Amino acid sequence: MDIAYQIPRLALLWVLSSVLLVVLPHVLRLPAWITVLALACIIWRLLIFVGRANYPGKLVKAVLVMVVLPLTVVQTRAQGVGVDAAVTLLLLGVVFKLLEMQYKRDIVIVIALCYVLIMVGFIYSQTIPASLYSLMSATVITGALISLNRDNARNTFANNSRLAARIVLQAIPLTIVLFVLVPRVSPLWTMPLPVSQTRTGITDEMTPGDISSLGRSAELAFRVSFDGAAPAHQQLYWRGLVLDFFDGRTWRRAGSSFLSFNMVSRSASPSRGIGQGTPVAYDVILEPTQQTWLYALQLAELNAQDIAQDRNYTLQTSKPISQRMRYQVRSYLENQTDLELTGTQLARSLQMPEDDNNPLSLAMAQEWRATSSGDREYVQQVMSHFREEQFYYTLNPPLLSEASIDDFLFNTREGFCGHYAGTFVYLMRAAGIPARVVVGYQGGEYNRFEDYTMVYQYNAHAWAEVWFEGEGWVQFDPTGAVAPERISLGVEAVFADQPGFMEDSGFSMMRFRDYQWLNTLRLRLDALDYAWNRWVVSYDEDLQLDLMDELFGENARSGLMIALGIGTSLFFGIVAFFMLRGGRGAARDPATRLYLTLAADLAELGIPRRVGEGAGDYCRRVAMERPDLASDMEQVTRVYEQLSYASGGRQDDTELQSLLEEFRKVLRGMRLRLLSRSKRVGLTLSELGRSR
Amino acid sequence: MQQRIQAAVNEIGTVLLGKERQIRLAMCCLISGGHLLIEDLPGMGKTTLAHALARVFGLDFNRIQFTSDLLPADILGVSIFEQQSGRFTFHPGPIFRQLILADEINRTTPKTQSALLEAMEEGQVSVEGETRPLPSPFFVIATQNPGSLAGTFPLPESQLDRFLMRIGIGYPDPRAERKLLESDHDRSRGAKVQQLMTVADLIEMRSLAATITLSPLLLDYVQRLIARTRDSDEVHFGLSPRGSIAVVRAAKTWAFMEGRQHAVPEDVQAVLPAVVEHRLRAATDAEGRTGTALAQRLLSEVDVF
Repeated sequence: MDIAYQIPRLALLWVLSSVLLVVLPHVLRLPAWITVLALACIIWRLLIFVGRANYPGKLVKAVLVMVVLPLTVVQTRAQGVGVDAAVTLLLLGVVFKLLEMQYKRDIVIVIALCYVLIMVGFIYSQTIPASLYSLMSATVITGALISLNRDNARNTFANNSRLAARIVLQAIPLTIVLFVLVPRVSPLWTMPLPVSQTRTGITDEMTPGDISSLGRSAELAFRVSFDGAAPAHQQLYWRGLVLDFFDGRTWRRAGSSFLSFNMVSRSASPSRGIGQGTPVAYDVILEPTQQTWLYALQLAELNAQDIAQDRNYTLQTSKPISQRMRYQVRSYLENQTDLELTGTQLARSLQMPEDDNNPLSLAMAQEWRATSSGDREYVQQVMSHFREEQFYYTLNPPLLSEASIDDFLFNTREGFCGHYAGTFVYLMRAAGIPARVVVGYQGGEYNRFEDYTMVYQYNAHAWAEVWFEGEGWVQFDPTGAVAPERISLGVEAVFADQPGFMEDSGFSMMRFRDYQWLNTLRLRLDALDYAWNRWVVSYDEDLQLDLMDELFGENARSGLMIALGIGTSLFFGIVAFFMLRGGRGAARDPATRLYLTLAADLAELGIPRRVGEGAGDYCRRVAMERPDLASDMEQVTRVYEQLSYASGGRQDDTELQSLLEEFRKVLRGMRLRLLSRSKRVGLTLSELGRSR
Repeated sequence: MQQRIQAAVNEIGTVLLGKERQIRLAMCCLISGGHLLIEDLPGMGKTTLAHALARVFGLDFNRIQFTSDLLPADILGVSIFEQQSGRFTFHPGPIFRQLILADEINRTTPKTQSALLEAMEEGQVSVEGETRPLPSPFFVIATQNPGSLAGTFPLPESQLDRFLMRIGIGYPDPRAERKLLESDHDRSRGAKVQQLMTVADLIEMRSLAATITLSPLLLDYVQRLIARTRDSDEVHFGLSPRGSIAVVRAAKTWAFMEGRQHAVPEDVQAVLPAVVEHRLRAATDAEGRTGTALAQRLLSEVDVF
């Protein structure tokens, strides 16, 4: 390739559009001045293209760089050194290069950088639409490359796009093979990913009233697929955090409960938690929360190095979750935890606000405890109080006064799950029973298309756990006493008509769930997205080895290598087959095919036809080596030559057909005699059938 | 007709012993209407072959010995002022014959070479502004010594291309040589060759050879051969269309001489080395000595089907 060659004009348009395409996805993320600059550079290059402007002089270029560098530094100081700053520099490099793009060498650099920018795009977004967009960009960039290297006569837009599309489509099978089979190694370094400031999901403190703000959001929290059947809706309590410190208004985590221990050490001290029955195994894909806790059903067990379990059996990570995260868990729905409480634990689960100003509730609790025969009976009494008195479950509870518990129990009696859970735990502690608040999600929507459960932000929930002597922690949900259908049917059934439910979701498809087909569409789209995340985005070393385990059993790693070898050679074999066949395909007329089967038979007799040996020469050689075959061979060859070389393509079809028929007859006769004469086993009657 | 061809071949064989293949190739070249280049060492029978061919067909024969001081006018002829008539009269040169033996063509200067080669291509000569047709048929047998000998001007590719075939004669095999030694050898033996055919016969054969059938399968084979010379990295220049036409034309004549109405791959293979050797040159070769090997490779690597 002549590197200094002038750029074909069409190629320039292709390159400008590819630059535009790869810059677009970054526009929203990067500061506005970069977008403006990029557009200006593209337009300037277009003006040069149409002859309205000149290439920038040295001074202009120097000034541009001098102005842009400080701006980038300022941006870096504001956002920290990270991917964003690097992407900014790369983008600026590309758009500036446009301005000095005069020769083929320059355009090749720009095209290479465009490919890099596509990869950079994947750092930010790995969704299906983003991937399709990248595929389209790749096609356009490939088109630019084609247009750059094609001679002028065939360098048309239609030609180039067709070829580019073909190249990209042909690359897809190979991409799939390589994606599935190339050994995955954990990255050698971790990318400082851009951390979004907006955190979603439940927080680590609960002031009665704020979980209801999640009720207004229809965003996805996480998706779960169960091995086997999913548990019943009322069993789906996704534990997130345990809140055991109450200051009179707000529930918080008490100090650090982070005495992490892994599964091995827990099984060594079984008194901590004992699972009974068969565990439920499931697989969670959590949307980024920017928080450090995960969600799981009761008494979870998992094997993951970067996830620890604290002594409240909640799952914690060391870094905020800024990307979709996938983890596999087993949970024992029937379990027994903490038969004995340590001193700290006991103190924490009995803690009361220091300046407690809820005398009415406190008195009521103590009176009820005194009259009841045991802790269990007392709990039942509290539950039936919620069930039988006029309590309401609502998304829009009234504000509570300073004495929040008293106000709620005796005055407003309208509340969301946080109110009930908080008040319930307060009443337990007031009566001297250890108890704590658990926040997380309850329920989920089942998607039958991919067999998984979707849990949304509006599924956020708070409930309680009470500790009994000799029983350990037992889960109670006072909300279930107030509004049983919240637990059995889901929050949507209760709040569908309430103002405010999902009102932050804007024009969400969730709001049209009453239309059957729209709802189906929504579920299908979500299922597609789920499958994509589960099998493509989160395809890592473990998943790869699992897959190989299924295919090869014991030796998964060598199996992977073999599969990779076979996969790639199969792909290239097919390509080679079509390439080589293209040149020779026409030569294989029926007569020649038949003749070659005879040659193959003779080769087995030890007289193979040589490359470049014509029928006549071959016949003479066969006749010399096997005089017994001479007459047959001569006849076959005579007819074959007649058929292949004497026709000249002029004879009409019937004449050719009758000749072909004669050839078949002669050939069959010869092969039959061959069969009877030779002691060869290979030539069977079925083989003879081929000549028919 | 085939018997007569065989008879002619045998007749020439009485003076050029044991070289039936070379004789047939030369006759094939003559019947195809192309010119022949014989490249071999001195004394191998080049002149004998040319002589015998001319006599068998009853052609008007002349021999031009090319030397380094030969001028175009020495071949083509000159106009000389005649005092009796007071006019310039054209004295035709030795080229105005039906068969020319251009001996040692590479010993003369390029200027004279191209004068002859132009005549070969055009079938006419232009002398002093007047165009004079050459006799028909017009057939040139040029001989040349291998290029490495001293005092030679190698023919450029463009002029080599005008010869339909290039053949070598080679040493006789021991039996033929013994016979040669036993016989009473002298130059006049060539004169004993009988005339077996006429110019009319030659023209008839030419037209008959043109009617030989070429099947699509055969043309595919020829095209694969040609394509190989053009694709291959080993070959400096691929065959020109003139080269591929030459292959087909010679193959047709060969098939006719074999007594067939259609050409088969063996015909192509029989003539291919003679037709393409002098047109091919290996990419690594500056001297042009590798054509033979390339032609053999071509035949053994490109399949017939």
